[in-house]
This record gives sequence, C-alpha cells and structure tokens, in this order.
Amino acid sequence: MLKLESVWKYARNHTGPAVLRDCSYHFVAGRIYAVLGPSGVGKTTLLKTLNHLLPLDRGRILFGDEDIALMPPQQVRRQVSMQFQTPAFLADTVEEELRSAARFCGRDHINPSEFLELVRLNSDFLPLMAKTLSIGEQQRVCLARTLVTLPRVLLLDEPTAALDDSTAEFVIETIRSISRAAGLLTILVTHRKDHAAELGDVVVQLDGGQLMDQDS
Amino acid sequence: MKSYILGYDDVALSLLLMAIAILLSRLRSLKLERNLAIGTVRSFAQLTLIGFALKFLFAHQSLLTFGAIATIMLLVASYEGVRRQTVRLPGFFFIILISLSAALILSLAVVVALIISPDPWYNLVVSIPLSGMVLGNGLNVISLAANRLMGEMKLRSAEIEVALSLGAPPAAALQPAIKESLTAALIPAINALMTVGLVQLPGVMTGQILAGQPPVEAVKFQIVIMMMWVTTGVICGVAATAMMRYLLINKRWQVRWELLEPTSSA
Repeated sequence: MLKLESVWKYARNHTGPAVLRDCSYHFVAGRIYAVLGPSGVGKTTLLKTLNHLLPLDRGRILFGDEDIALMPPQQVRRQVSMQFQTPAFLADTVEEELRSAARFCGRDHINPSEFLELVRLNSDFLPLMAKTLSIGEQQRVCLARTLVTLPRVLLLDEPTAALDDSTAEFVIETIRSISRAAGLLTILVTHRKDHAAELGDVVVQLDGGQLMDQDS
Repeated sequence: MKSYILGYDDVALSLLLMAIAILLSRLRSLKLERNLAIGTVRSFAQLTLIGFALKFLFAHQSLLTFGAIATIMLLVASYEGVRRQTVRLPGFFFIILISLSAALILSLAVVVALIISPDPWYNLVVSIPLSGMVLGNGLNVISLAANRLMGEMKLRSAEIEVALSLGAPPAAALQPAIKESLTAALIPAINALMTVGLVQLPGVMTGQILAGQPPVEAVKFQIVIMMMWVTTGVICGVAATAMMRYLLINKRWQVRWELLEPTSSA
C-alpha cells in the first residue's frame, strides 16, 4: 500500500547523516508496523515524509500505484493521517477540534461523538477545553482527530511516550482495535521495545538510514 | 493667521535640546553620546539637502521627474525593508516592492487625484510628501508583520504542521499566525486613530497650523491623511503576509522551515 523506492532524506539543511539512505521498503495494507530506533535517528522525519509534510531528497513514495509527490497534497493528507508525539490543538473545545479537522478535509457534516467513541471517550468530553485534559485524554482526542479524515493509513509518533504504563496499555489496546476494525495500515514509531513487540504485527528497525524487519 | 518663519539661528537653538539629551546620556552612562551627535549632524545635513532638492524639483515639475522620484523612493524603501529583517527571505525585496507599489498607486489615485486634485495631478508639492508618508508607514507595517509572522510560525510550528497534516490548505494553516502578526503590526496605526486629537496632534496638522493655516482647514487635511495612512498600512500588511505565505509554504503544502533559520550575516 505504501512503498518507499530508493528514498533519500536528509535532516534539515543537509546536516548530519541521511535519515533515509537509498531506503526501499513496502508497508502492506491492514498491518500494524512498529518502527523502533534510538532518539534522534529520524523516526519523526520518516513519518513526516510519509505524510508528505517533508519533501524527499531523492527517490519516491508510492501510495498504491501513485507517487505521493504527484498526488494533490490534500488527497495524500486525507488518506495518510498523522498523529504527532506532542498534542497540539487548533481549537479550544474538543468538539471544535474535531469539527476543524473535518472542515480541513472537506467533510462538513460529522458526528463528533462517533469519533470520540472510537477512542473510548464519551460525549461529555465534547464541550471540554482540549488543553485542560490529561495527557492520555489529549492523545486520544488527537487520535480521534486523525480518524475524522477517514484515513487508510495511520501514522503515530510515539503515541505512548508521555503516558504511564496503565494509560499506555489502554492507548495501545485502543489503537489495535481501531486499526483492526477499519483494516488500516498503521505505522507507529516508538523507542519502547516492549510496546513495539506488543502492538506491532511487524517490528521494523530504523538504523543507518535503512528500514529492516526484526523478528517480533 | 500669522505664520511663523524660522531663521537658521532659530534652528541652531534647537541644538540646545539635543545638548540636554547628550548630557543625560553622559550622566547616566548610556554611551549614546556618539550616536546622538552623529545622528544630529546627519539629520541636519540630510534635511537641508532634501530641502534644497525639493525646492529645485518643485520648480521643475514633470511627470517624468515624479516617476523617477517615486521609483527611487520605492526601491530604497524595499532595500531598507530587506535590510531590517533578521531572517533574509529570498524574493522578499519584491514582496515589499509590490506591496508598497499597490499602496502608493491607490493613495495617489484616491487622495491626490480624486480628493486634493492638484494641477497637474502629479504636482510634486502634493505627491512627493504624501508618497513619503505612505511608503514610510507601509514599510514599518511590513517589517513588523513579517518579523512577527516568522516568529509566530516558529512558535506555532506544531499547530501549523497538525493543520497541514490534516489536509488544511496553507491559507488556513497559517491564518492564526498571520492574524496575530497583522494585529501586532497595526497596533500603532489603530492607537493613532483612537487617540488622534485627544492625546496627540499629528505632524501634518501641527505643521499646517504653525504655517498659518486655520485649524479647521488643517483638521480636514489631517483626516484625509489619517484615512490614507491607516488604509495603506493595512494594504501593505495584508499584501505582504499573503505573498509571504507562498514563499514559506511550497506548492506541495510543505513548510520551508529552512527559510526561517536566521542568516549568519543578520
């Protein structure tokens, strides 16, 4: 579904070694990939590249048969949706947040409660100020927001990094159930080997600019 | 009404005021004495020169002369605008040039040709001082708005990337940052609108009253000038930030973060 072909990607201003160095890899539809790698290796850059937020230096990324660099940007972003490591909000309340995301992807009429239920939050959260929620709840609101675009690929940047173990377990279970139910290709990056092994159908190591499968 | 004419000896007396400023700087160890002294000499020399230059130009009116002066003013203002930025954006010179040109054309069409209606329409006595006001204020608004926009983009980088990642078009993703930068850049103009006549008597009006014009006539001019001043400021800010959007976010809806890094020479 998402295929990297001889991709080169340097960090900003071409300083340091390449994050992706002549890298080829095939992410298959419907599976959950957990990408492992030490801090600073470029895991976030990898996800931003897949979301087309960052340009490639060389090579191409195919979504199905189409080069994402040739697709309309909005179409790429709607189908390949990304959740960032640190929650950041575009509106004040949870409901406005979900409606903003819907507007951006051209969906005027949504039922925000439906998306909150997917991440196991009830509609009582809708009028609450997003920034006042706990980190775990903020992460789940952000996850609900990425689902509003009805993506086919879900990119998750360290979704459990700031969470205590019990909340992380809950988030992992939520991600798994959503990915399975909707048949999403899910690619998450993490530095936690235990979370990678628990959640990933395939555990991938990002090292030396290459993506390599590990025995999970 | 009596008009007041100053001799050069009167002007020289104003140096007493500057002497107080230099003395204060010395007493408080501000180390501003050198810059104040150089600034004083430069302002005397520059203003005296421009006085003679304007006297010559006013006596030799032509559309060509006006075009040449307006072009030089636009180019100098655009160059100065680029120089003031801590971050050097490629093409920023043209963004300033286009924004200022739009504001200048509008103000010349409405204020000079339509309202004041001098003969000929490009009469340098009217068009040059007004052009100077438009360009000076427009440049200030553009500089403030551009610096603030780049600062806001860094501050709001997470929100901007979230919006873009959800499929927001660049205009929507940058809207909060652009709104903030324009609000900040236009505060001086809006404050001036609110307090004019109550706290301050602006320069044009003060100058006309000192030159012997009846206050009611001077006020009419001042109102027209204020409308022109604020509107052209808004036009410059809106045009420049709108064009900066195309510079800072590419056609693939990717932010060019590398452009926001301070240049080593800045």
